Amino acid sequence: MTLHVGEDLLSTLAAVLLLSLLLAAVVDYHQSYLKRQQDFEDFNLALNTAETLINGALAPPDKSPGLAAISPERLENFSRILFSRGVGAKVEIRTLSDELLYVQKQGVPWEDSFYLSSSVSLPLALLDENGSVRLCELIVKIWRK
Amino acid sequence: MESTVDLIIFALLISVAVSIPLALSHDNAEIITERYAASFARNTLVALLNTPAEQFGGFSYRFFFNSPEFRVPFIESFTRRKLDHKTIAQLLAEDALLNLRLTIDNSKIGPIWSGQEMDEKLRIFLKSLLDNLVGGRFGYRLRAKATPVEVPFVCLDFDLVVENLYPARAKLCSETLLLSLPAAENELTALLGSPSVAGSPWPPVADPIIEISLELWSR
Repeated sequence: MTLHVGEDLLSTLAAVLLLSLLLAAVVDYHQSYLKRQQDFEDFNLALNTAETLINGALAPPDKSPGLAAISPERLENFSRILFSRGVGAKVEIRTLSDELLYVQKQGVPWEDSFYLSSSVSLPLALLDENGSVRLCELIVKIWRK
Repeated sequence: MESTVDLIIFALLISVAVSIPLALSHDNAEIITERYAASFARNTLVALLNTPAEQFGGFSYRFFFNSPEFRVPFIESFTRRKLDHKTIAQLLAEDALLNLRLTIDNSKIGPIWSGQEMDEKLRIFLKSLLDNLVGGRFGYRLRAKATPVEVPFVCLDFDLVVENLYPARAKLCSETLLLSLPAAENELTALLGSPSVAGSPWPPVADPIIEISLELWSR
C-alpha cells in the first residue's frame, strides 16, 4: 500500500466538499418540504373553515340555498370551538368595494404567540335584514399555536 | 479516485430520494389549487345567480325599436326595459327564452323571437362582472346552455358563452348548476306552430333546464 499525498488529499477534499454540499442541499430541501407541507395543511384548514362557515354558521335560518346571513352568536360559537382546538380565526365579510360589514376575531389578542397560517377568500351572497341580497367576500384568516 | 466515483453515485442516489417528496409536494400544490378553484367557482356561481343586477350597476336594454332613428329620449325611455331587480339567474332564464334558436333538419332558422339586444347586453354585462370578480385570479369560461326541446329533425336550443382565457394555461375545474326554465314544454311546442312539429310525439321528459357551468383556468 502506497500513499499518494497529492492525489489522495485532493480526493478526500473533493469527497468532503461533495458530502457537505449534499448535506446542505438535503437539509434545505427537507426544510422547504416541511414548510410547504405546513402551508398546504394551513391553507386546507382555512378553506375547510370558510366552507364550513358558509354551509353552517352563515346559512340563513330558513336555509335559503346559496344565501348567507350574518349571525354573530353562531359565528362566535364557531370561532370559540375552533380556538379551543388551538386555531385562532378572524372572519371578515367585506363588500366588493372593500367596505367592512362584519368582523369576528378569536385568538387574535394572542397573535404574538401564534403564527399567521393562511387566509382564504370566497364570494358570498349576503342576505340583509331587509331582505335584499349583496354580493360580498368572506375572508377567513387562521392562526395556529 | 474510485471513492470519488462511489461518492458521486451515492450523492446521485440521495438526490433522487430527496426529489421524490418534492415531486409529491408539487402534486399537493396542484390538488390544493384545484380544490380552492372548485370551491371558488361553486360559490361564485351560487352567489352570482342569487344576486340582483342592481348590485353590479343595473341591467337594462331596449326592445322593439333598436334602429338609430328611434333613439330619441321619449321613445328610448318608452322602449327601455330596466331589469335591475332581477337576479342573474332570472336574467339568464329570460335571455334563454328570448333567444331560443330553432334548428330544423340540421338547418339553423335562428332565434325564434327577437331578443338579440338583450343577449348582446347580457354578454357585455356578464363579462364585465366576471372580469371584476374572477378575472384577477383565474381565467374563466361561463356557459349557459339549454335544450328545452329535441325531437327528430327539430331542435330548440340556447347557448351563451362568456370567457376571458387570456393568458390562461390549464383548466383547473368546472362547476355546473342546473336552473329550471320557467316555460312548460307544451307552451314551447305550441309556440313553434309548425304542423310537423305539432304532430310529433313529444317525449315525456322533466321540465326544461338551463345548465350553467363555470370553468376556471390557471393564469
